[in-house]
Amino acid sequence: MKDFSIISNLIFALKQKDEAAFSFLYDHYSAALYGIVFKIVNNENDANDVLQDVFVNIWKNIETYNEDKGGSLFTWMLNIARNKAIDIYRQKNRIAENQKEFQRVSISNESLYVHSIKVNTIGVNKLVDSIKPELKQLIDLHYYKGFTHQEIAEITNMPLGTVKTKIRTAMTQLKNVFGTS
Amino acid sequence: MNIAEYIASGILEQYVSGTASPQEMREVECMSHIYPEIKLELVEMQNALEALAISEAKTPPTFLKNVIFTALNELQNEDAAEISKEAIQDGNTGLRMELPPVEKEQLTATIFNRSDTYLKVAASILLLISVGLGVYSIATNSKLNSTRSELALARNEIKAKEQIIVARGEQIAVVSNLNFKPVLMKGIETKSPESAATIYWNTISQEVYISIASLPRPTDDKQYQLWAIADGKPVDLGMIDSKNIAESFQKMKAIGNAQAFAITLEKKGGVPQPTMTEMYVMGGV
Repeated sequence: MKDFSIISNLIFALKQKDEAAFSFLYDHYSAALYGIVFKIVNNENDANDVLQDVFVNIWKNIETYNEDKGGSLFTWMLNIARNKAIDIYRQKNRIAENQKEFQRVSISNESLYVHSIKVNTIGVNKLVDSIKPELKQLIDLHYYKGFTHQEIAEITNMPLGTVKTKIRTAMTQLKNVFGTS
Repeated sequence: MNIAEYIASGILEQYVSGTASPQEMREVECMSHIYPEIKLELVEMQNALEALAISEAKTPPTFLKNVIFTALNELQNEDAAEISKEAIQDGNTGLRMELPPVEKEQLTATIFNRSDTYLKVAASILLLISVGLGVYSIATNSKLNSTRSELALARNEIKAKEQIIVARGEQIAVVSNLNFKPVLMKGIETKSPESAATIYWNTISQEVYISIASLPRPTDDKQYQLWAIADGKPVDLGMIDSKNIAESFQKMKAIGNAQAFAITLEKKGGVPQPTMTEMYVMGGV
């Protein structure tokens, strides 16, 4: 059997509709995708439906995925997951509810935020916590929930330019936490 | 093209978050192929997001894998059914009916026992069907082939247009970047007074771009060569692409120090020293 941890092997086998490859994909990525889907739909029933829909879509469309274009396999799957989750979760409530959530998080966690945490004393989860909660929220809103810069400006009541800068800063911090490739 | 500004513009974030328009997506893809720094940034961003998603993963209920793979198996069966249906319609498989030997004998006996009229009728029907399938298959194949080549043509056209868009985007980025200093090169009075071209020179990054306003079309064996004059000596800055020379915008070799720029017409591929009598335009910094 091929080594599916080599991403190009995995992609090749997925395109052949190889069941073992899909099983590997599920075992390695379903939890990450499920986590993102859950953030959007916020209940188990819908999250289950969406995850099934996501894998059916991966199956049907994997031939159209082109590694050379610049988007990673994960980004491609994330796009499918995000779109499917947003379809289920009614569009009109998205902004209002995330507005409330953003205010809640940015007020309650602000005081707990500690900037300098040493890398070797704590695990990755704690490191993620070291990203300012507001910036972490912006990452969620933009990358995982798929809000545009404009929509985030509306949610957070910040000017568009500030939103762009903060999302950029958030990404830089995130890259520091997880190192480079 | 200022790469740092491009990265800071937020377009890569939009690409990764799926909020970019299809046009913007194509632009990012083009840019990441041209500039390794953009590609690297894109890869790092995606890796960081993947790592974050994994660190915040939520394991789905265990029964879900079975449900999903049952659905996928059904899809696979549908696919298989679809493929065999297509194969029959294609006419490539022909009609094959293998009967077990005993039944075959019985069948032959029965047919011969009646009259051979049945056999003749049956044979002509089979012949008609197979001719029909053959014709249908040829027609379908040629239609498929012409659709394929149309598609390939359209793809090439899109690719060529994308390249133009990227080049124009680069031109706008350079021209509007204040770090790029324009140096106007005017036509040499005795040689080609109508000719003109502009150098965009970034003295910090040392990048040099050339925009041709007007130069006579060179013959096939000749090519324009760009020179910088640094401390009285000519320095080769590369050959100018003869394709679409009238609206050409091209990146040339980098240089940190120059007092003037000039273009000469040389033999194809260039020469180590400029031919002074073949100088078309020149401009001082």
